Amino acid sequence: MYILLVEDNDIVGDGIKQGLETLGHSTDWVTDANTANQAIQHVDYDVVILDLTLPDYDGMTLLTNWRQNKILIPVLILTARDAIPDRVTGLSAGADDYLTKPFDFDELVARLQSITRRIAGRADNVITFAHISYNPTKGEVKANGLPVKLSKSELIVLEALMHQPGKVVNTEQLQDRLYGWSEGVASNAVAVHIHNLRKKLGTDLISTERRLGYFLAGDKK
Amino acid sequence: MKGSLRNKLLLSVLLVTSILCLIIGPFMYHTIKSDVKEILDDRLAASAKMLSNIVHQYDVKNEKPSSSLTNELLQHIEQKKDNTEIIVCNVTRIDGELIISTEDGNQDVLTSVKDGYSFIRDNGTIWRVFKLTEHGISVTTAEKLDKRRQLFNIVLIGVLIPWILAVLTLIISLYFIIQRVFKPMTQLQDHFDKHTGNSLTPIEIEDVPSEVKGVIAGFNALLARVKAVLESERRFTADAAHELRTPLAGITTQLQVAMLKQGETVDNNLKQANLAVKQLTELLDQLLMLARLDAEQMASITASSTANEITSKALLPLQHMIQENQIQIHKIIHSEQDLFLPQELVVVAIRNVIKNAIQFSSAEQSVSILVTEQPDYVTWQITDEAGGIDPDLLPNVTNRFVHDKKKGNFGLGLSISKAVIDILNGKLTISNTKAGLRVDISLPYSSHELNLDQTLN
Repeated sequence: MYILLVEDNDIVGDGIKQGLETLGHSTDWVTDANTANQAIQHVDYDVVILDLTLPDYDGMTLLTNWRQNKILIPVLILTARDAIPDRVTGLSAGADDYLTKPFDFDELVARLQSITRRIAGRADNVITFAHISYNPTKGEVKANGLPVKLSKSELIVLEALMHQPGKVVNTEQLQDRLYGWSEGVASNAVAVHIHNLRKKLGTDLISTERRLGYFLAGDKK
Repeated sequence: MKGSLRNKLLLSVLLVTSILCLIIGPFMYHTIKSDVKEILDDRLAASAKMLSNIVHQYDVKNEKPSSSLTNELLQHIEQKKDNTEIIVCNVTRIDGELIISTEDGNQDVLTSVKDGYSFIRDNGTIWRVFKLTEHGISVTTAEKLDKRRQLFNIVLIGVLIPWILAVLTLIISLYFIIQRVFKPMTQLQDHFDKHTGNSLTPIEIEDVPSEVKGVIAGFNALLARVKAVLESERRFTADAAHELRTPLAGITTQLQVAMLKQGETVDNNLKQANLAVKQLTELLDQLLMLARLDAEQMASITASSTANEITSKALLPLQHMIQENQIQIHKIIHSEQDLFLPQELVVVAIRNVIKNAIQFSSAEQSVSILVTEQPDYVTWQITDEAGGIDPDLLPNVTNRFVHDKKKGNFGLGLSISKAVIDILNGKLTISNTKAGLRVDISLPYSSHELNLDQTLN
């Protein structure tokens, strides 16, 4: 998953980012609502973890603005406000899930995967395309039923392509997932990972759309 | 019914009216009876007198009254009603010669009575009799007692009925008037019946009497204050919960991530978790301090110290932060007088303000602490270069868990400082300067000094 984490507390934010990246999920961490807004405009995240108490303005206001502007990205609210009215308000404002602090990290990851699974219209956690199956929870990839070992970066690229099978994912999006929104990256990094994926999973699996990006071979949209 | 003002009033009115009726009733009865008796007796006497005079006139002339005159007189005196004589009369000479008589008047029993008023019984009938003897003539008039009683009853009923109707009308009118007057009280009772003990809905009743208006207004004001206090407590609890949960979340997250990193260095995670524990500890200390300040348990401790000692103690635990943040501290103390104040409290109040200044300052910026003496107080002036506070927030910056858009959470520090200063009858002023924020803390030299508001303006 490519996650935008909006959390102003340094210790909590650092912990969540480290934990998610350890599990193989790319995470951009911002500490205020304005930066979160900018990030959303420029990057195609899979899900947002949103703290409600932000320094510039309330996370609930941010979420409401997104929904009013038809930004339908899945949002999990992560907050210390545990009262029922707060939960109801958050969910009514358009959040997809609500988790209170302190939280269990495994539960956080499970809820994030549940949201993205639901959005993708999948009933279970395993994503399949052609002869490839990918379990995001376990980080396992199989080709023709046999496990295939991929690096963290290769996993990130494959996941991005499998989330949108047949749809072109542009190179910039893949770079953001690999290295974060604000980081600079070598221009051929993505190409290297694509090359390695083709080598491990089959040369016909991933097709190139010149000057645009890549897509999983099949029904091109 | 017990304790009901309205029912008590109604009962009282009924009781008073009943007592009055019981007193006035018999009095009226006897008075009417006496008056009717007197009137009827006078009538008997008048009739006798009239007859006596008329007959005497004829005697003087040595004439006899004509039969038509006699009949007319008798008819006038008889006052027949329903073909029954009411008064009978009998005129005789002293020697017994009958001169005039009504139909029932020619009776021996009437002639045998004494002069004046008397009662006689004749064949079971009781008569009231009056006899007048003058000018050689005896005139006897009599009336059946039954008829007198009937007349008395008619008069009594004629008087009683309107009186009873008046009393009943009075009672019924009073009942409805009392009901109407007590309507606001009934509405008040309904309001309390409908709303449970937890309800803070203000009382809204129309046409409230002036005696109750003040009570209702006072009650509604009290409800509003209770509502505000409850809301403040709810907000504080929610904010405190949030502030407590956040560092806890930091600790658990960092520890869980450390466990995820199998074999890798976890020093940084443990360091972060430790930092979160410190934040949590500090927050708990502040909450406990607030609780103690609310109970004013610590305000009684007083020790002599100077402004320099207090300032040094305030700065001591902040040295690490000062070094880490690379803040320049400028301390100028123009006070040598002994201060008789609860030292621990004053140190906390000063420290919290200095800590805020350090926290929000950037590296190489300065925090200045200037202590000066005035006639009745000593003032700590703490200024920073951290850019100041949102002006809209300034009036409320000492509230608990206040949040500034640029600076973030102020937590409880300034709230605690304000609470301490208030307890010691000091004054706290906070203002923006060109470069940052200025906080003035003015405290009396002794904790038994006058309220500074009277001297500072």
